[in-house]
This record gives sequence, structure tokens and C-alpha cells, in this order.
Amino acid sequence: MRKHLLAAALLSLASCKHQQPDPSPSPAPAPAPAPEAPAPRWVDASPLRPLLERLDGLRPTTVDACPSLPEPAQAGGPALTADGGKLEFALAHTAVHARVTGNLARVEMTQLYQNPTDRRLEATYAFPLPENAAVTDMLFRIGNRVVMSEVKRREEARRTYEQARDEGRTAALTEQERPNLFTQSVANIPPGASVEVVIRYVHEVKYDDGRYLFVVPTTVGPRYLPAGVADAERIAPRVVPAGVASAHDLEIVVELQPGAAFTAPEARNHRIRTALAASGERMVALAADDRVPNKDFILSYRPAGREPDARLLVEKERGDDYMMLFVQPPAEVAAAQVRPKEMVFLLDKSGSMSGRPIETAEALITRALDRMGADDTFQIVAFDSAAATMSPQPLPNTVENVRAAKAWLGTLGGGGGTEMMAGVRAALDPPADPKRLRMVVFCTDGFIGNETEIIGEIDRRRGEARVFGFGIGSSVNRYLIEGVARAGRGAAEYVGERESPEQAVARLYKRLDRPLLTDLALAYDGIAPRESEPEQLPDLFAGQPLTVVAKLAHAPGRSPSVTLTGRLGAAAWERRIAVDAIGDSGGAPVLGTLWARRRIAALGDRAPYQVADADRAEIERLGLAFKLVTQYTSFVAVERELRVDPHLPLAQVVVPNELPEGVSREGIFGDATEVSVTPARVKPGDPEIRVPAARSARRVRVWLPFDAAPVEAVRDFDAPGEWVARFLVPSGWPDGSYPVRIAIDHDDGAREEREGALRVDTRAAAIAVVGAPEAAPGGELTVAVKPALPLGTLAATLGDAGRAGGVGHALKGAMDVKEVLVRAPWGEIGRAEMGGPIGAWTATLHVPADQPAGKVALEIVASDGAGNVSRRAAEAEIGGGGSSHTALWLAVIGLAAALVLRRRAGA
Amino acid sequence: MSRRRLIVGGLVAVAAAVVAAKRERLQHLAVPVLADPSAPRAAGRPLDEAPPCRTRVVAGAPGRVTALAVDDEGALWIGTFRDGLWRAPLGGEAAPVGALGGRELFVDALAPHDGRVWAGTLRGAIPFDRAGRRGATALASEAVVALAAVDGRLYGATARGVYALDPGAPERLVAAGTDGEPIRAQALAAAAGQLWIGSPRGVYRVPLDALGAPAAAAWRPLVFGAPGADSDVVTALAPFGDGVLAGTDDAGLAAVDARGVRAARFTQPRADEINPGAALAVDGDAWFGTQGAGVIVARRDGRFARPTAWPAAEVTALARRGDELLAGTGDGRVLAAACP
Repeated sequence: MRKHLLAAALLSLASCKHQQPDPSPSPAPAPAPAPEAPAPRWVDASPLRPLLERLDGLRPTTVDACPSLPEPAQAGGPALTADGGKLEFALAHTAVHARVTGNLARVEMTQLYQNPTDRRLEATYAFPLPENAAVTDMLFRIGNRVVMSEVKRREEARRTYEQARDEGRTAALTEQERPNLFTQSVANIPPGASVEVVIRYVHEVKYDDGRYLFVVPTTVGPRYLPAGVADAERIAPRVVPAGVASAHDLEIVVELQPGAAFTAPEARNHRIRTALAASGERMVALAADDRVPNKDFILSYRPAGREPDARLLVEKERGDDYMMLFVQPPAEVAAAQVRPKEMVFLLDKSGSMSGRPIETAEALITRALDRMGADDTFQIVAFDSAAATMSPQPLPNTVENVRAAKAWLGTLGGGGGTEMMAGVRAALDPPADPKRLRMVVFCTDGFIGNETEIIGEIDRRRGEARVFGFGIGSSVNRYLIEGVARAGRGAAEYVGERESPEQAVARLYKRLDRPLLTDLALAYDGIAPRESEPEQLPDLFAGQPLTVVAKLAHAPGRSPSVTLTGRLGAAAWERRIAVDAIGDSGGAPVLGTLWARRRIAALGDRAPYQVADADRAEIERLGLAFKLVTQYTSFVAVERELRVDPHLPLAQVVVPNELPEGVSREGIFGDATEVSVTPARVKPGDPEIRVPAARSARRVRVWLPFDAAPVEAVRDFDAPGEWVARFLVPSGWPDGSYPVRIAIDHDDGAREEREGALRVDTRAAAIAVVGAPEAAPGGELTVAVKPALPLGTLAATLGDAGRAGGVGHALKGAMDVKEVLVRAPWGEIGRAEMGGPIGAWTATLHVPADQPAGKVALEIVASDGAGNVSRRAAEAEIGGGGSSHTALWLAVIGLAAALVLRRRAGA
Repeated sequence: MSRRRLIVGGLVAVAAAVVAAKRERLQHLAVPVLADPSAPRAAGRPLDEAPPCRTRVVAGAPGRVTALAVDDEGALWIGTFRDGLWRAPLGGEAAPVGALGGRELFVDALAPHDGRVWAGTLRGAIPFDRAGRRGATALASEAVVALAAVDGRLYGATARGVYALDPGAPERLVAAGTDGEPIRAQALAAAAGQLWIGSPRGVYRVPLDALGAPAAAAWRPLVFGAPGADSDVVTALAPFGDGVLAGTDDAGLAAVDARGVRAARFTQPRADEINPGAALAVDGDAWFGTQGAGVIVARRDGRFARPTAWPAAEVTALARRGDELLAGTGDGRVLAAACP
């Protein structure tokens, strides 16, 4: 419903199919009236509505706004169950509003939680943010109240939150699990009410090779958790089950300020609308039909003019002066001599890479093989649960070897675990070739839970090699990829589902072939920085800028400059660069916050396995001083007023994430049919779930939507190889399909993840009487009934068509009937049996010989597999001359109608 | 032949072909109707307010309590939803009993019998002596979800009917109704010379004196009555008057006796949802544990009441020790209550 309103509000913008030339900014006419739409159920107004309405009034500038993307699925996809067909629960909506100025983004994310149950609800949601985000604030709105957060040490914040939860006070808690993965908890959402949680963060926008890349990650991929990941439970969010779409949708509006400074906005994965506002911003919004949160939103754009060689931002924040220096190395750093390379392609072929990701990675490697230099050698290392190399040692670049490599690649399929450590060692441990520089191209989606170990291992083992992180897919773990590139002194690159591998390979070779600046140092003239971040300047590849954030001892002088020194290949290199643009960040001061964020990351990276006590204390101090969420500090907000009855039962739900687009569900979870819930459709009660597991399984746990804690399954001694978990569907739980996540821990420490679905059904099927029953006294009265589909629920039911089995399956599910009983006024109860070509339920009653003629009232009760009961009254005529033929005609009509519906749904 | 007739004939032929080819699937298709013809659910009645009971916590278990029993030493036995069996000696702490594993940890019923306490689990019925030593499992391949000790015999309810758990080989005595339909037994009670069997499709009864051999049971659906219930799923049974009072999963209580069925729904939230096995007859009254309204009591005079200020919303098991009512809760407590 709300989607329709927003879609209407966006409609005056051109779509990608109707591109128009870029016009000059125009005054905003009055917004076109939105068509009448049904009243929203939960969301009365989107927080982005005013922006979208502004956008609505602007002329479109979409010449280059949309790459040629396929038509995306409608948000939510096919409907399921009475909820309109989606997994509609707890988190209904996320709205992201970003203001981007230069290479800084200030973002406000609003998550709308709702409680459709009659219990008090606690929702927990693991959500992604950019890996360099500094989370600066959280608040929540409930009713007309706004509750602000405070920053506390993590344990203290959690205690405060849990105490509030137990007291029945509405509370919210934001915690960091990884630099790009956070957990939002909201407790005591009152029954039938909603809570809006607002999270604010700032981050630097990556600038590379002449383009800015602004990223909003929207989902968290299921991660492989090798043995020893201590916080495995917190970093493995649930995934929406197969065949179900989440009702959680996404709105994004980005304002590029000033708009005239940027051009050529493109979204890599999404359809967008864009326009220049009269007030000068360039506004970009997600298209109304592309709002499924299952892939990164990546907006790239170019500076409209030449970027200054050096730009300095200066601000005072929390009593100190801070600067951000942005230096673009001169363009004359060009190719000189290309040293022969030992190319090592390290390919993740684990379960999560199954399908399109591994096809993309293989295409990328294939093209990279074709572009190798004549003196280069190459090796391919592929890993899943173990690592394998294509050949015992690197091979020369010959036609035969490349052909053999491509053939070997073709034999690889995705599947198994992600023992990335084995792959890293196999790529870096062999002796280095003294004549060649080893370049490791590491292709992965990064869906693992031991990022710090992997990054640390690369740092320790790389020697002279350089490692390039190559993120594959629509929702890559950028924390890992950027960390791999940083530790490997390489660069990070990404290729999405819808991008050409050729372009990605071209970008890669541009980096591989062109010399880079190493051993960099900066000397300042007219600027007095202290405590610079990074302390140690990184190596730079062609097209990469250098960004330094520091405290300032005093304000900069009039004509500051910097001198950048280093080595270009083997030669010394030096350039003096005038700082030709000085300003601020264009909004509330953030440079101190960004400095603190960089410093926290650097402290955490020093010893990722075991952060030193002093470093931990400093991270805590910075988090508390700058009000930042860190691994050791959290935001907590507690409503003073008691808004729910603390004696109400507490329902706890974990909000599932969408499976990233293009990722194979079977590759990760195996065949969903391996998991069975008995009974399949349940009323609230105590079903059980059965999980077949290998003999090596030592522990099986099941996460259900009702509880944050898992249920331990037990071995079923009577069914070897099967585990069983008993659980309760809480009473009052809304109808719908819910995800069930299963983790199987094996003896060797590996963990296997599976999923299933549980369908809660408290609706009984309606019953239609086919024909007009009639019989003579002393004769048999035949009553034929069929499940009925009231047209009021037709739309929701047909939405089920996208599930396996199509419309027929959907209709069957919606009108499940297990037993039909008919009671006559003379006390006889007839049990109907299903039969005949149309599957009518027919009961036969025996009319007493002394039954007076006339109409009699029948009582018909139908129950379904879950035990739900519907009852209706019907009339029968006593005294006629036998059964009516009307039944047959009505049955034929019903059948024809069903066929028409089926055809329409199929169309 | 007119064009119209040709079209109609063609449509009929196509429909017939589709019916023939897709019969299995088409059988389940529904008839579109303009409006839902179903009758609305019956209105509930408010429960009377009974005087409050004096309650105290007497024992605790690690998880949801599903069954309670008191042995002849006064010790309390606590069955749990998935945490096995516990025993609390009079005045002592509860401790786990027996070496249970797998689905034996899912305990649904307890009954003192032949000097031992029998536990109905999802993997058979297991007897325990006072020291907690387990005897031989009966019906190891069945889930025994209810137990009833009647006239020196112990009966167990399973998805395949009712068994007498006699020493040696258990015997299946009630497997089907009088029409031959299989009975999925999930509650048991003895009253008025009958063994009453609760099932997902109403109540069955069979004369106790007919249980010397396998017998068919007479069926009484709860959905037809004056008034009928809105559910046939029986979760608990208690003797009441000259019949039984059946607790249902979400439709309140239904009295079943020779006069027929009389259902009662209640207006208090969750008072209509009777927890499995949570039924107890006390001096002609019948007590039931609900999913959210504490305990409710059906007085022998036909009134229904709920003690005020009851300290637990979810009461999952009931038993009696002396003059006190014992109530297990969804969060693992066992309360002793003295109710006026």
C-alpha cells in the first residue's frame, strides 16, 4: 500500500526506458496529486516522503542514470498467505537518506519495527553498514515520543537494555559485531504498535580512478563459520526462507551537494531516478519497483570539473581542530616498465559462490588469463572445505597451459565450506619466483566469520607479494575485501552480478601493469598536523588518491602545500602539491569523528586476534568521547514511560535478511526438503522439526522465529541419522511462513547451515455447498461441498502462485480441508468423503421416513490439517424427488472458473 | 452447427481433457464465492472471579513443565517439555531423574501406578522407582502423550490408539471408532464407567468393562452441540458430572455426557486455550491450565471461574498433593496453591 503511494509520488520522473536530456534546474511545480490508495496498515508516512515529493516535482535528468539493467522483481515478489504473501514481520521498512558532500556522506537510516502480535515484542536485526561507517547516533520514536540514546561500554549498555526489557520499558540497543555488521535490538514494542529506530552515521566515500562510489549495503550474506569463531551466533543472521519474500522493503534517497559539482550518476545494481533540485542538490532515489533489500546499492558519479590536486577540509569538533587532506597524485605517474608477474588466482568455490557468483569469477579469471604478459607465469588455487591447485607449480603463459587452465576452471563447481585459511596459505606459501612479482587475485564473496584471522594471515605471509581483493557478487563482505587489499598491499575491486567481467579485468590490469608509488611520506608547509591517520601511508596505484585525517596543532596558513615523496618503481619520486581548495565538510562538523573512526580501526587492526588492553581502553575512550558505536561501546536508549504491560508474555523475533541476489540457496543450505516440520501446517502448539545429519554431527541447533535462543535438537535413536527438536508455536502468533535456521556442528569443528520453513495457519477453509440438497422421506440425502474461495481473499491466495506447485498448490494450501461433517436436524452426523472428478466432499444422510416435508437446516463443519474449524448452515429440501442435478452444473462452473483463474495467474 | 455451439463444445472438451490429465491437482481447487459463508465464532462468556489462592513456589525445572505427579512418599515428579524428568523430595530441590536420551527427554505425561511413577515420553512409557531407577520402556516406538491409571490398570494414549501398559507386552485395546476410523489418542480420563479418549477430532468413549479385549469406541465430535465447540482438538480431559469436561486447543471447554455436548468459550484472553494434559478433577470440580489466563475452574454447578491474582499466566500441568493444588508453569516453576 505504502509502496503504491511512493511509486505514485515518483512517477513524474522519467524511467530508464524514457531517458531525456539533462536539463537545467527548474523550479519545482506543485506536486502532482497521488492517486487514491488504500490506507497504509502500519506506515502512515515514510520519513523520506518530503524528499520524494520534492523529487516528484523536478524534471528528470536520467540520461546516464540507469545502466541497462534487467527488470527487477517487484519488491517482495509473490505473495504468500494472508499477509499479502510475504514474510511480513517485525521489520517492515528501512529508509536511508544520505547527504553527500565531496567525499563525505552523512546518512540517516530509519528502521520501522512493528508488532502484529498481542504480546510485547523484542526484535533483533543484524544489519550491514559500510565498512568505514562511524555510527554517531541512535534514537527511536514511539507514538509521539522521541527517545535519545546514550553511549556506554558495551556490557553496561546491554545490562541497561536488558533491565529495561525486563521492566517492560521500550528500549533500543545498537551494537557492533564487525566494522560492517551491527545488531539492532528493540524491546517491548507494544502489541499492535510500531517503533521507528533512527541510526545516523558518517563515512568517507571512496574515490577511485576518477569516480566516487557511494555504497549502502542492504543485506548480510550467510557466513561460513569455521571452528573457533567466538561470536558465531551474532554474526550469522537468519535468511528469509525459500519461496518467501520479505515484506521488508527499502527506500533510498541520496542528495549530492552541490549538485553541479557531480555528474554521470550511475547505480550498478539498481534502477534509480535522479534530478537536479532548484536549491542545487542532485537528488537520486531508488526506483519504486526496485526496493528489495538483497543487494548493495552502489552509486557512482564523477566530479563535474577537474578535481583539485590537493584539497583540505578543516573543522573544529569537540574543542579540537581537525583536517582532512585529499591528495591526487599527478597524472604523469604512468607506465614505465612492466615487471614480469607470477599471477596467482585464488578462487573461493564454496557453497555461497554457487551459481552466478562462481560463473562470474571464472569468467573474470578466464579473461585475466588472456591478458597476461608473455613472461608471466600463473597458478590457480581453488578452495572450499579444502584447497586445491591446478598444477604443482606455476605454469608459463603458453596457449596450451591457458587452455588447460580454462578447462580446469570449467570443472569447478560451487559447494562445501569456506576454509579460506587453507586457500590463503596455498596461494602465499610456495617459494617466490625471484624473477617475478607475485600478484594474488583473490576472488570471493567474503561470506565468512573469521575475517580478522584471514586478514592477519595475509599480512603475515604475503612477503613481497601483493594481494588484490576481488569482491564477487551483489552483497560482498567489503570489510574482508578492503582488509585483504590493505594487508596485501594491493587494491580492492568489486564485480557485481550485472557487470561485465571485461571491465573488471581491465581495471585490474590497469593496476597490475602500472607502477605504483611506494614508501610514501608527506611533508607539510603551512599545515601542522598531529596524530595523523593513517600513521603509515599506504602504497598508491594509478588513479588512487591519498586521504589523510589528522588533528591540527593550529589553523593552516594562507597558501599551504604538501610535498609527497616516495618511490616510483625503483626510482625516487617527489612532488610538491599546492593545496588549492580549503573549506569545511559542508555540514555539522564530522572530521574529528572520522579521525576517531580511523584511529579505532587502526587500533583494532594492530593485533586482530587479541586486541591489547591498552588499545582496547583507547578504543573505549574514543567511543565514549566521540559518541561512537565500536566493538566495545554501544548505544542504548530507554523510554521512561511504561508503555506495555510487563506481565504480557515476551515474544522474541530475529529479523531475517534476504539472501543476496544471485546467491544459490541450495549451495549454502542444501536441499530444503531435507528438513521437515511435522505437522507442516500448525496451529499454535508443539510441532517438531526433524533434521537429517551426517554421522559426524555432534550438535544440532534450531533457530525459530519466536525465540532469540536456539532449540537444541536431540538424536532420534529410532531413526538413525536424524535429529529432532521440539518447540512451541506461541499462542497468538500471526499466520504466515517463518524461517527456521538449522546449524549442524560436526566433530571436526565445521558448521553446516540449513534452513526450513514453518507455516502457522489458524484460518479454516470456507465451505461452498454444491447444488441444492434434496431427498424424499425415507431416502438418502446427499450433500456435496467444496472448499470455497471468498473473492475477498482471492488476491492474496493467487499471490502464492510463485511458489512451487503454482496456483494449484496455492489454492490447495489456502483451502486445505481434512474432514467435513454434516449434521441433520434428526441427529444424524454424516462424514463426507472426497471423490469424483472435481474432488467434492460428499456426505450421505438418511432421512427418516416420518420426516415431514419441507426445508430442514443442516449444519456443516469443515476442519483442516491444522485443526482449524469452519462451520456454516445450509438448507435441504425434504419431499422432492431425489438428488438434484444442479450440483453437477455448479461443479462444472466452479471448475471452469478455477481454470480461468489459473490461466490468468500464469499469464 | 453454430459457432457458439462449437466454442462451447470445444471448451467442454478442453475442460474434460484437463480434468483427465490434472485430476489429482484439480480435485483440490475451490469454488469461488462472493462472500465467506462461514458462521462467526460463538461469543465467549466472562469467567466469574473466584477468590485468590494462596500460592508459593515449591520446585523448579529447567524448562516448561508438562506433567506433574506425586508419589506415595509425597515427592513431586516433574515432566518437562524437552528437559527430561525431575524429582523433588518433599521440601527438597528438584534433581534430574533417570538416564533419559533422545526423544525420551520430551515428557508429556506422568502417572503413579503399581508403586512406581510412569512417564509418558515421545519415546515410550518408562516406569521409575522411588530412587529414580528406570524400568523397561513400554511402547518404545510410540509417543505416549497421556496416561491414566484406572482400576489397577495403566492406559497410555498414542497416535495409534490406546494401549493397556500391562506387565509384559502392552496391548492395544482401542484403535478405532465404531466406523473403523483410526483414533489418534491425546488425552485420557475415566468417568461414569467409561474410558474417555480425547483426540484431534473430538471425544471417544468405551466402557471400562469392555476393555478386557480390543474394543471400538463411540465417537462424539465437539463441534456439534448446544452449542457446539469451535474446535474438535481435545487437549485435556477431566471427569465432570456423569461425563467429562474436554479442554480444547483454542475453543474453551466442552462438557460431554449422555445429554450431548455443551461448549463454553470465555472472553478473557487465552482462557480458551487449554494446555495439553493440564486438567484435574477435585471434589467434583474440574480445573484446567490455560495458555494465558492462569487456571480456570468449572464448578459442579455449571459456573466457570478464575481465581484472581493468579501468579502465572501460563499453567501447563496440574496435580494434587494433600489439600493443595500443584500447578506447573511455562517458565519451569511448580506452584502449590491453597484455593478456597
